Amino acid sequence: MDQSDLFRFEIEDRLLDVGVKKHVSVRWEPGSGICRVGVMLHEYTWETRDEVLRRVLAFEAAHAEDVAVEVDIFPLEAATSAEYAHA
Amino acid sequence: MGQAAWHWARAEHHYKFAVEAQAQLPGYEDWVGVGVFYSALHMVHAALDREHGLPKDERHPRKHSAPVNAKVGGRGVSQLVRDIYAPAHFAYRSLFEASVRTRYDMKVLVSPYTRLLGDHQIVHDEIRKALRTQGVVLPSIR
Repeated sequence: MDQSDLFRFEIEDRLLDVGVKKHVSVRWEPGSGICRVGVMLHEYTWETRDEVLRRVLAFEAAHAEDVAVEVDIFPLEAATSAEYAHA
Repeated sequence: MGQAAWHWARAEHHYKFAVEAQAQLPGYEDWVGVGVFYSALHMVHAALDREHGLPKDERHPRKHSAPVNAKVGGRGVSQLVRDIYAPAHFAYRSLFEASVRTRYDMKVLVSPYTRLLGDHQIVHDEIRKALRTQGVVLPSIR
């Protein structure tokens, strides 16, 4: 288990009660101190997107000395539907 | 005030592009998200230029993102907004995230460009306030 996994577990925990199905990916870059977070939402609305963003920023604040977050929040359709990509 | 004024002029330029893109370029409204973010970025750079208490690398940051204990170059712009211009933080980070997503799928969100322009307004108002406390008065770009 590496640091990316540990960060992912923490972020997933922080997002637990955001009431939509989601998938979290994390890539930790120790050289730059950047933690790249991807969150795929099964329901993508301003409300769900903003709540996820708030909690990921709270994660960053909790690790501010050593971690800067870049986050990407996107809908499930972006990953599963070619028609969506062309909409 | 040279660099601050230059950055402010760039902020206005990118904002005008965003407004024009939304109004005049049907089918290219997604680039509104890019324009408003880079406008916000330049507004922050204008204010940082005047923060004489910061180390040089943080008055003129070259990175969007870097933590407090970054090995080289100090904090990134996003983290400086978090630490110095807190009322603008969520709106700025929202714009940064949207500047990438806007080219893919923000159209599915309700009135995305209204929301992004609203985030831009928040950053604009907070940064103008920060500049005024530094004795710098720059005109509204909105």
